[in-house]
Amino acid sequence: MRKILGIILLLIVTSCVKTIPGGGMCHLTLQAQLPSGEKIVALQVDNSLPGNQIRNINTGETYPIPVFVNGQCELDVLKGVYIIAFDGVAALPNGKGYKVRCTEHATILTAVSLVQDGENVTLKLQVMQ
Amino acid sequence: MRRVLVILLFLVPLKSFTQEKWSNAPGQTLLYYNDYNFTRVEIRGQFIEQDKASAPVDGTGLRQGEFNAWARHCLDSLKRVEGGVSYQRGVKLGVKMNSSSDWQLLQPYIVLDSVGGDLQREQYRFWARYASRHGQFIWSVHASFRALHEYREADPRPRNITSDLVLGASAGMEAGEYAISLEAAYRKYHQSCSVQFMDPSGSNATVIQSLGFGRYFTRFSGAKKSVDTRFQGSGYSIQGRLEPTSGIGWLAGAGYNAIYLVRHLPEFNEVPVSTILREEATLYGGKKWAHSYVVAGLDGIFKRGYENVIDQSSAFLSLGALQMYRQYSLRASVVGYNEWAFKKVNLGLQPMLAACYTAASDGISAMDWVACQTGLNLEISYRLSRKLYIYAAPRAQFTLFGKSNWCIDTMATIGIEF
Repeated sequence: MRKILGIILLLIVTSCVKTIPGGGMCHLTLQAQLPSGEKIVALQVDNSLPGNQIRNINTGETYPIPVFVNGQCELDVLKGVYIIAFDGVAALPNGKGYKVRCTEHATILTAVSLVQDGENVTLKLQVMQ
Repeated sequence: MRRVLVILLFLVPLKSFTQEKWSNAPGQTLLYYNDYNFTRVEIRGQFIEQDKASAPVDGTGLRQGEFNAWARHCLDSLKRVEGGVSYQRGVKLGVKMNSSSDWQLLQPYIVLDSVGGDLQREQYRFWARYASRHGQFIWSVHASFRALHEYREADPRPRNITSDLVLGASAGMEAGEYAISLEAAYRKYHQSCSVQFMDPSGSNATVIQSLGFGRYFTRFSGAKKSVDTRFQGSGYSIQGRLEPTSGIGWLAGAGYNAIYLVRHLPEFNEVPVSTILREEATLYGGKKWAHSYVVAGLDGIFKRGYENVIDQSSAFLSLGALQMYRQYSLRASVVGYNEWAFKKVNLGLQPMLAACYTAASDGISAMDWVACQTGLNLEISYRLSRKLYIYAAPRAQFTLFGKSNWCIDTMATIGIEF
């Protein structure tokens, strides 16, 4: 009887829900890239500003953006489709600092899908004058 | 606000549905009733009042009138048929954080508004069943259809239209003084939920597509002139039953049912945004005497919620579903009943005791709670003449769930039998 019920249940679930494999969380690696190709030692984002965030377009979860070390940062987010937008300050090896902006995935239409267990996203930064 | 949402969504009222399962036994049970034909017409009034809502999504009270008509006919000593219609018209008082109908089925994936208010309701129900005996073999078929219309005449104005169809059949055999049977049923469910605002200055509230634990679809929620949602799905049930053919003796049963419901958003290209799968297993046993019974039951409910990840395009395509919400409920209940029959008056007393443990999680947050409930139902029926009778059933319930809550549920009926 348990077996029959199990098969019925499996049929119900598989017929109505196409699930995303793996768990609910995605390990996200962000890599920042300057237009000049220069190496970034650190990139700091002021998360208190309202527009600086990683935001799920469907459910609205927001995650603060960590400090980029050697042009890279990692965080865990709920699987979904995300807007990634921020203004920050990038420090270069020569001691120079740039104000940078990330707008590549700043709208719903350009949002990025993060549905695998691990995802790498390269962010092309704009240098602000 | 988030915490209030969490609490409001997870308060589940306790009901001793062991008794419901016993008294609403479908199909071949017809064969074991008294073999006389009748037609009954009833008008009934129902009054429910709580001191504070145990489930604000269901309101603090109900004022309802009902018309019932049903007939039972013995075609011969081996075949019985029964059918009926009912119409209910009433108002649910003080409904909060809920714009959907049948929230017990859909929770936590309901549509809610941040204002609430009284909700008008009308429900039509048609049902029929047929049972037959061939030697020791017994079988039956049954069908029921329910149409529910709930609405509010002030902003926010939900208008929910629900259709609910159940088709079932059972087969079994008699062995000595008992009958053993197996019943299977199919259920088709559909609800269209439309929340509108008539105020020319715009909406005065936010309409939220809830995901439970205070989470919701921000992309599809907001203060808009109109929000349309559609829930649809189907379910299956299977139940085994042992009952005494004479109406006196031991009874027992076990059942399982599952239903899945998908939430679609018509204004966003009919995108399916979430699916709730609800499973329920039931076990009960008891004994029935000529004028009394005792039934003890154990019910387990398991809910799984799937949130769809909708892509960034204006086509609103689903990239797949994430299993987020889980809820386990275990409920134990004992119901007793005794009837005293006098010349024209029948008096029934039904004490009830239930306890429920529930644990819920959405992968991010988790909570669990215990609730206990005790109640006493009193039934008085008086036969005014051979054909005319009146019936009253006042019921008092007390629930302990962190805080105490009392509920008075009174029903008065006047009926005529042909």
